[in-house]
Order: sequence, then structure tokens, then C-alpha cells
Amino acid sequence: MTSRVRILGRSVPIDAVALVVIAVAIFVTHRPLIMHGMCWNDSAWYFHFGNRVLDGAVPYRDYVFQVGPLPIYMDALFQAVLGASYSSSMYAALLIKIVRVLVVWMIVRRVASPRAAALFAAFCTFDQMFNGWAHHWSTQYAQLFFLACGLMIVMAAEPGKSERRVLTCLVLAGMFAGLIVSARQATAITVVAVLAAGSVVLLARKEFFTPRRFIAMWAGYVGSLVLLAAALAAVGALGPAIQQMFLDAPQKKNAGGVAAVLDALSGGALVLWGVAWWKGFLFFIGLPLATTALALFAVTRRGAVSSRTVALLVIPIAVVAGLLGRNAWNLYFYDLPRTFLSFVTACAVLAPDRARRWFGVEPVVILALCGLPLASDWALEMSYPGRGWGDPLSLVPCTLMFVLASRRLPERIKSWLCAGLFGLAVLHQVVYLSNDQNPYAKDEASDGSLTDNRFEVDHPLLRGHRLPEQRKLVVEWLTRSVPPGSTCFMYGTIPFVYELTGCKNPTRLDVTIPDFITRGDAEQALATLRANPPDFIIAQEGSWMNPSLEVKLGDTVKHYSEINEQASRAMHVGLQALLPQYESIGHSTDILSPELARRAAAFWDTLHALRVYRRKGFAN
Amino acid sequence: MADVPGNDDERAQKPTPAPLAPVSRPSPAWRRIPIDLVAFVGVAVAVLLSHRPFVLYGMPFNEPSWLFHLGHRVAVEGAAPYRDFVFHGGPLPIYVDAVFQGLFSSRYASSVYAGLFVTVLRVWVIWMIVRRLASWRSAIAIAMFCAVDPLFAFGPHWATPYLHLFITMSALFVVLSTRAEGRRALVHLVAAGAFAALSLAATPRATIAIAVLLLPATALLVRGKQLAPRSFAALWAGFAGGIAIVLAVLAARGLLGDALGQMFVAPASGGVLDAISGGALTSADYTWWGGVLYFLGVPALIIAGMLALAAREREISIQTIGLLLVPIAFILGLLMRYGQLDYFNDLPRLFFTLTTVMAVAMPERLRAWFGLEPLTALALGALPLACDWIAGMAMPGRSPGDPTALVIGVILMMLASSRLTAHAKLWTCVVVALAGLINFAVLVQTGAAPYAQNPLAERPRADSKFKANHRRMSGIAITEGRRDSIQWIKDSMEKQRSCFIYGNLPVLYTLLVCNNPTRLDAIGPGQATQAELDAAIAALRASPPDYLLAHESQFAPLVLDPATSLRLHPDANQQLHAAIRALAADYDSLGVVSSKIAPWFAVQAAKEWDQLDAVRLYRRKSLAPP
Repeated sequence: MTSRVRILGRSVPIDAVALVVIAVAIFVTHRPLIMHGMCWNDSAWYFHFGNRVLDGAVPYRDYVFQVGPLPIYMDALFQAVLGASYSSSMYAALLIKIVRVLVVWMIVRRVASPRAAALFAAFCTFDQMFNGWAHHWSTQYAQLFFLACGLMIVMAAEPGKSERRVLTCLVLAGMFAGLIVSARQATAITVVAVLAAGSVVLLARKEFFTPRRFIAMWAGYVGSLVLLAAALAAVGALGPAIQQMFLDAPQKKNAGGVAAVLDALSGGALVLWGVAWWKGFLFFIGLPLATTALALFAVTRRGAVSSRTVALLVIPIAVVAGLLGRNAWNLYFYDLPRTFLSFVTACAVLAPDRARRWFGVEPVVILALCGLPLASDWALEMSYPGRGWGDPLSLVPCTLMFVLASRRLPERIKSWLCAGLFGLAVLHQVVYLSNDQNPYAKDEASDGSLTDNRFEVDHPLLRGHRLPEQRKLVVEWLTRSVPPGSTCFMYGTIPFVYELTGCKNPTRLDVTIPDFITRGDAEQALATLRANPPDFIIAQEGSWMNPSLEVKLGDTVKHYSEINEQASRAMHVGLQALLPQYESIGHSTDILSPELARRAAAFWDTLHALRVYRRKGFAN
Repeated sequence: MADVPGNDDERAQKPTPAPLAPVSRPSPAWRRIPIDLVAFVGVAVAVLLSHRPFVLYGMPFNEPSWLFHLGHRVAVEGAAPYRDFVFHGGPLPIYVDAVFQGLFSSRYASSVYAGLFVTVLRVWVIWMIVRRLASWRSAIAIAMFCAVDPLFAFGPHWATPYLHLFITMSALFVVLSTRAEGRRALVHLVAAGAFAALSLAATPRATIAIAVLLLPATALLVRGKQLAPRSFAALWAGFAGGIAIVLAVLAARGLLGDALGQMFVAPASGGVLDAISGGALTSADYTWWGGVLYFLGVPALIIAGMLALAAREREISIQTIGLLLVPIAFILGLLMRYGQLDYFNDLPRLFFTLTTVMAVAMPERLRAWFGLEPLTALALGALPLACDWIAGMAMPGRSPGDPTALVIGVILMMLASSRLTAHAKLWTCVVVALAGLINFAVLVQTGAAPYAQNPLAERPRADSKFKANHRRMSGIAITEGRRDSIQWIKDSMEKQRSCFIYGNLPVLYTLLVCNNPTRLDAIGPGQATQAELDAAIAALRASPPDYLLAHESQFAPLVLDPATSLRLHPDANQQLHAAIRALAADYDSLGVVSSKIAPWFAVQAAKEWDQLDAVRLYRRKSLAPP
């Protein structure tokens, strides 16, 4: 395998060249587009929390947080280096993307060929199926770390490696697996469960793992955990971090017990509210199961078939798929890869010889390329009971990498497959750009077309960023309404308004969505608010799971939220009790025309429904 | 033919001997009874058992009951189509309905039985084709699919199943001709031509499409020495004979002139581009290239992939196929972010367009690539294509086309290929049958009407448990809302009076026993030409009906200003609407159905296909209340 190339007469590692090419390609293609639009909810969270760290706050200790701390510190670092503006947060995300694509390149180069790797990396660079979104977010770190863990296992499994290098790779694999905790602890738990179960069984079966290799990997894992715990302890956040990341999580997500496991394994199909388990199973898993069964049946067969016979069956198979699709749903990027990877991973662990024979991939590589993304999907599925969101951005690329790793596929087919995927990425760019859309933004966070996002706002935090007219007007209205230095409390999911207006939150809650807080957090914050009523309350009236403060919901807890209803109710009722001390001084629709309000309503942070309350008697 | 070499299962690797000698005796005990006759009985029993418990639930007053109403006019009132009422289809379904009403009394259930009878015949013909193309086991599987799947066997009596019956009969005889020699083959081709032409008796415009498509295609086959001139002559002699029979019957009943003036006229037509592109080129929501990319992009890529596989014969490892299955599904999913894949419409239409072109222009390649004889490809592909074109043209822009003909055509064409082993054919048929059975089970389990033409728009069976107090609806279970609706309208009107229904609910003439002063029984898009509408307007002005029933959800309420309200109802004809609105000034509104039945029933009725809740009844002011 080519691992070095000659450039200007010097031998350079091909992966280093790839890093430069990927970095340049991503920067050149993304930079002109990603500075358009800014939704203030989830997509601006890390900017907000990073900004707080710059101000000396410590996550968990000074404010309640939900997942691992690394992305916050990374955002803070970028803000420290490039200036405290939202653009810095976008650059942090860009860096993570560059590294993720590099890791993908490195994996595919090793399991397939440099050509396939280049085409596949190009697909990952330009298609939403790997990107997902342009903003800085924790999932990308989790994906990076388990991909890096997978890469190290792939490298360890490469034939001809010295035992020492194998052990080094495994230590690094364990360390990367451990680092997932620093981004998303739920993913870390499911990944460690899969990795532990897989490595123990493979060790028992004397497949790849020897006691030394096993110990090396888990020593690396423990090492990174120790490192992380030490870092948290050094800033005095270890106790609160454990509390908020691990102990509070079941309450925040309404997750736990057998239902959570079934939810994860089935993508919520088995625990769908109001639907019999078998109906959910058949509707969501039926077609993926049939496709997987067909694929597995085929890989167990030897022999060949004429390409013309295959051609003849293409249309009838499509028609049958359509007939079956009348009664079932085939989510190409969720249930299908999850079902497929579940069977492949189980096969690799339980019947490694067969897995090797059928798929042409080493069982330990299957564990790395199939088991880890599966675990990530489980974690994300568990974060919302029932049909929630999985991790298609890992499932799909990793399934493709697994296929590319197969010795059963000729190199020519691998290259064609990757070329086809690259073609789809180009199509994605063409479709989005021709429709004046940002091809890298999460659709609901795009904030409108590229042309809509043409307004510059005179605010240091928004330097270099272009926004749509409605957002510019809301920025001006909020900064006009809430004076800097006052105290305020934001009810909803847009903590960015604290930085925007320069008002101080007297509580430890910057976000009130109930899957972010516990009932205890809500009650503690309300006690603070009652003791020191803030000068302003900024309420999002259209925020998911935070019902509008205008609405009376009564005693039925279920009406307050889909999950963690108790926290939502506590916050809603508590804030409503405070409202008599306040007067409404404006609603975002007061300053938005009906057309601009309609546009604002289409995006994630629902700016069309923002109300500002001022404490009665507050003097500017 | 290199088919499946190296497979573990040697039996599966044996290519299908072409032509297959049909297994004509299932067992020694049945030696003297042809298997097709046994199958006919089996099919009839199976269809009756699987349909009878479901088809007598619900009775929409729009399209599903058209033929009952028209058959009633023929059987009971002695009216004749074309002469006494405007009709733009073929006469056969009306007369069959009339015969069934004569046999089982004039009620809607008889019309349903007529529909069942046609379904039995269609399933039986499919059985006969599949038995000859594959095996009796495959034939059972496909017949099972056809018997229970609403894609093939929808419940109401309708004209399109006759078209399907005739084209499949035509295809059957083409298949038989390819297995016979000499005079016998020619006789089969005569029969194939005649059955294709008999479609004139059901859907005349489809007959034109068939002729337009097949005549040059077969002529080119003769030119390319793919079809003997004698065979060509036999086929088209049969076609001419079929046409002559239909026209002679019409002439004998004194209807030929009127029929020729109406049968071939399409009051609304989307044109040739609309037909061949499934409306992708003429969709109002897209530019022509946007429509092509959105609707035809993904199907075109699939067809291109299929051609790439077929163009050069090579061995593909089955393991490779297994490994690529999921990535191919991903690619499909990724493509479908930007384009639509209509499995039953655009994909098979493009496929049949390709096979038809190949049959004519590259018959040798068709044979080599797909194992299909050109004439068979035309019979199994071009005939459904013609049906689809006509169905597509009937509704300008995107329309469902004729998925029934296309899907069954795809299955039959796959079975006609000499490239597939009998084993592979059987498995494909079993999977198709399973898809049908699963769909049937799901619809039954969820309480839907499994054979409804539009299951989502008709109430679940559990809601249809009430008997109507009307002899024309005896044996039919309907919803309480429908029962109350019809009861209120009936009670508000005197019998044997004149009435005009401004909407697509012609069966109300039969149920309310009122006479239409015009020759138009159904008012809706594509149901009358402007001249026919003008004649109806003149008749209404000359003899204003005693009652007027206006369907306010189909067309704008008459009280609203048409200048603004009609924009929301593009189906409304401006002149007719203006005339009815002017007429309504001399009428008193007796109320709208939704205000005369329980509010909950009105909500239910509004969700049904015919939206009976929106019918407003007017009575002429000079008429004394009943």
C-alpha cells in the first residue's frame, strides 16, 4: 500500500498531503457559505457556553450543562484566538470537520485504495450525509473519537504490523474511545458496552485479541478517563460534572430500564407511544429486515450470476419494494443501516469465522466499523423515547466503509461505488446552490436562503456574519429593549441573548428545555429568581417542550412536555407565578412584518414568538 | 444463454427451456378436465371468498357508483348511452352492469358483483398467461396476488378493468402464437388483434393509443424481418374484426352516430408530452426540465444502471451483490432527497418505453439482453404503456396513470424472459404474492376497506354498519352519516320530479328517482365537452328543474361571487357555473347536508371521497313543498 508520495523530490507521508488537501478544500469551499445565518438555539449553544468560559465560568460548577465539556473549551479556545464572535465557533466546527474527513480518508485508504479514499473523502466533504450541519456541536466530537478509535483498530489489524505497533495502536484506540466521554457521555457508555462485549468475546475466541492487546486497549481507555477526570477536578467541576452528565441524565431524558434498551436497539419502533410493539416493528423494521435478510442470504452463497439476469430483475425488485413500501417505511439512513449493522456486528462477535468468510472483513475491523457507529446510534436514539433521532451521519458512512473494507469486492467496484457517492455529493451541491441554499447548514438552522442572509449587524459577536432581515431587526429590538448590565432570565433555548444583550443571568440555568435540566435544577433556579427577580424575562413562546408562558396548562403534567414533564411544569408554573411582577414590553411580531414573521417561524429558534417582560418599577 | 453458472443449487441454474410445454393436467384424476377450467373455478371461489366480506361496505356516490347509475338507466329506464345521456367511454361496462341488475335486481350490490365478475375473469387470464410463461406454481402465486391486491382487484365496477381484461387476453394470444406454428399461430394472432380491438367497447381512446403504438411497431418488425407479413396481416385483420364487431353492435342498436361523436372525444386532455412523460413535462409545479429531473431523474438512473448491466454479459458474484445491496439502497435514498421514485408509474413506464423502442429498433439486443421476443415485448409492455398514456392524458399534468397495467406488465415481462430460471421466476412470484397478502392482511387488520378504489378516502368498515332505507342500496352497509344524508335529501324532495345535480354524484338521480332535464348526469372535469355543457345549459333554461343539488366542495358555493371563489375551483366550468348561479335565483335553499345531520357525521362525511356533507338542496320557488 502506498503510504508516501513524492512531492518536489521529497518523500512525504500521503496522509499529511491528504490533511493539507482536505483542509484547503474544506476551507475554500465552506468559508464563503457558512458565515450566512445563525439560529440562536442549539446551533449557537457552544458559542454561548464557550463565551462564558472566556468570562471565567466553569461548566457544571457555574452553569448547568448536559453533555461533555470538550466542545465548550474548544469553542472558548477559538474565541480566545480569533476573537469572541460567532464566526470563531464556526471555525471550530470547520476544524473538527477537517479532522473527521481526514480520519475517514485514513480508514478508507487502508481498507480499500487511495483512489477510493479520495473519492469517499470528497463525498464526506461535500454531502450532508456526513456533514449534517456546519455549526459547532458535540456529536461531531463523538463521531470523530469513535472514528479515530476505529482507525486505530483498523491499523492494528493490518497484516505485517509488529506487535509493538499493534499495541500502540490499541492503546490509542482505547484512548480515543475514552475521549468520547469528553463530548457525549451517553455515546461513551454505549461505545464502551459494545467495545467491551466485542473485545471480551473475541479474546475468549482467540480472535485478534490476546490478553496483552486487550489490556493495552483498556489501559488506553482508562488513561483518557483519568486524564479527563483530573482536568475536571482541577477546575473544581468533577462532582457536578458526574452529577449532571451521568446521574441526572435518566431524568432529563426519561430514559432507563428495558424500555431504553429496546428503544435503542429498535430505533424506537418497539416503544412507540400508542402503537402496538409488533405494528411498530413491522412498519419500521419490516423492510430493513427483509433487505438485510436478502443481503445476508446473498453473502452466504457462492457462485455467480449473469449481469443480464440481474438487469432483468432490477425493475421487478423495485416494484416489489414499492408494493411492500405501501405498508412499511424504509428509512434508508436510519432503520436500514441500523438493522444491517446489528446483524453484521452480531455475526462478527458470535461467528467470527463466518463473518470473515461471508463479508471478507476481519471480525475486529467489523467491530470497529460497524459496532461503534451502531453504539453511537443507540445513544442518540435513547436521548428521546420512541422514534427520536438516531445517528445516520455515522451509520451511513460507516456502513459504506465496512463494504469498502471487504476483500470480496474488487477494487474497481469500490472505486465506482465511491465515484457514485462523490457524484451524489456534487448533485447535493448543485441542487442546494442552484436553489440559493447553504449546502452545509442543517436545513432548519439555515436561517433562509443565501440571498436572505445578506445583512450585516453592527455587533461585535456577529462580526463577519450575515443574517436575514428578520434576525437583524430582532437583534436591534432586543439590544434596544434590554440594557447591558441589567439582570435577565431567558425562558427557552436561546442563551445567546445573554451575550447579545449583555444582561446577567442570576441563576445557573442558561437553557430551560426540560431535557437539559432536572426538576431540582428548575426549582433551584426559581428560588433564585424569587429571591432576586431579574429585571427582564425573555420568553420564547414557540420553543419545543417549553410551553408559552401565556398558556395555562393546569395540573395534567403530561401537557407540559414530551419528556421530563416535571421539570417543564416546575419551570412553567414557577415563571408564571413571577409574571404579575412584570409587564410585557414587546413581542417580536411588533417589529416584524407578517412576511418576516412567517420566514422566522420556519426556522429552528422560532424568533417570531419572542416576548420581553420587564420588571414593574425597573428604571433604566 | 449464460445463466447463474457456478451456483450451489444446480437445479436453479438450469435455464428455462423456451418454449415451455404447459403442464395441462394437474393429476390423473383430473385428466379429462383442462387445468385452466379448474383454475377458473378456483379463481372464482378465491375472489368471491376474499372479496365478498368486504366489498359490500360503503357506497361512494361519485365514480364507484357511476356504472350502477348508468346501468340502471339502461336496465330500468330503457335509456341508451350516447343517445339519452352523454358518455365518453365504451358501452360494454354499462350493459354488463345492466345485465347484472337484470339478474340480481337493480341495486348497487349487483354492480359490485359485476365488478367481481370482471375481476374473476382478469385474474383467470393472468393465471393462463403466467402458467404458460413460467409454471402453474408461479401462476398460483401471481393469481393470488391479483386476487387480493387492490392495485389489481379494486372493488367497484369500472371501465378500466375491461381494458385490462382485453389487453391481457390479447397478450395471452400473442404468447400462445409464439408457441404455435402455421395456421394455429395465425389464428392466435387474429384473436390477439381482436381482443386488443375489443378495448373499444370499454375505453375507446385506449384503442386509438394501442393502434397508434402497435401498428407502426409491428410494421417495423415486418420490415426488420422479425415478424412475418402473414402474421402482421393476421394480427391487424383480427384488430379490424374486433373494431367491426363493436361498431356493428352499436349500429344495430341505432347508437353508432351518437357513439362515434362521443366515444373518441376527450373533454380534457393533457396531450402527447403529458402522456409519454407521465405529466413530468407538463406539471404546473415545475419547469419542464425541473419536472423531468424531479420525476424521471431517479427512474432514468435506475434504467441506465440496468442497461449498463445488460449491455455486457459478465459474471457477478452473488456475494458481491449481497454486499452492494445496502450501499445501493443508500444511493437510492440519497438520490431521493432530490427526486421522486414512483415505483408503479414512472419507473415501469420508462422501462416499457425502453423495451418498446428496443423491440422495434434493436430486436436482437432485446433478445440477447433481456431474453425477450420482440412481439412478446410489445404485447406485454407496449399494451400497458398505451393504457398508461391514455390514463395519463385524461388528467393534464401529474396523474396516477395506469399502475395496474404497468405493474402487472412488469411481472409478466419478467416471466416471459428466457434468461430467468423457473426457480427464480417462482421465487419472484412468491415474493409478489407475499407483498399482496401482507397488504391485504394490514388493510383487514386496520379495518380499512381493502378493495376500495381510494381506501384512505372511504370510511373504515367498522363505521359502515348501517343499512340505508333504500331498495337500491339493499345489502350495502353504509355510514350513519351517509344514511342520514340520503334520508334527509329524499324526505325533502318529491319523487318523479325533475332535478339537476351540479356535481359528480350521478347516482343521486337513481336514488332520488328524479329526472334530469339535460343529457349530462355527471358534472366534473373531463366529463363533458363545451358543446355538451352548452346544450345542458340550454336545456336547463328551457325546462328549469324542480330541484337543484349543488356540490359545494367540488365547485364553489353558488352564493359566492364566482369572480373570486372560482379561482379556488379550477375544475368548475365558468359558463355552466354562471348559468346555474343565475338559475338558483329562482330557487329556495332547503339547506346543506352538513347542517341536517349530526355534526360528527358531517365531519366524517367531509373526509370521504364524495364529500356528501357539502351538497346543498334547492327547490324551485314556484313548487309547493312536499
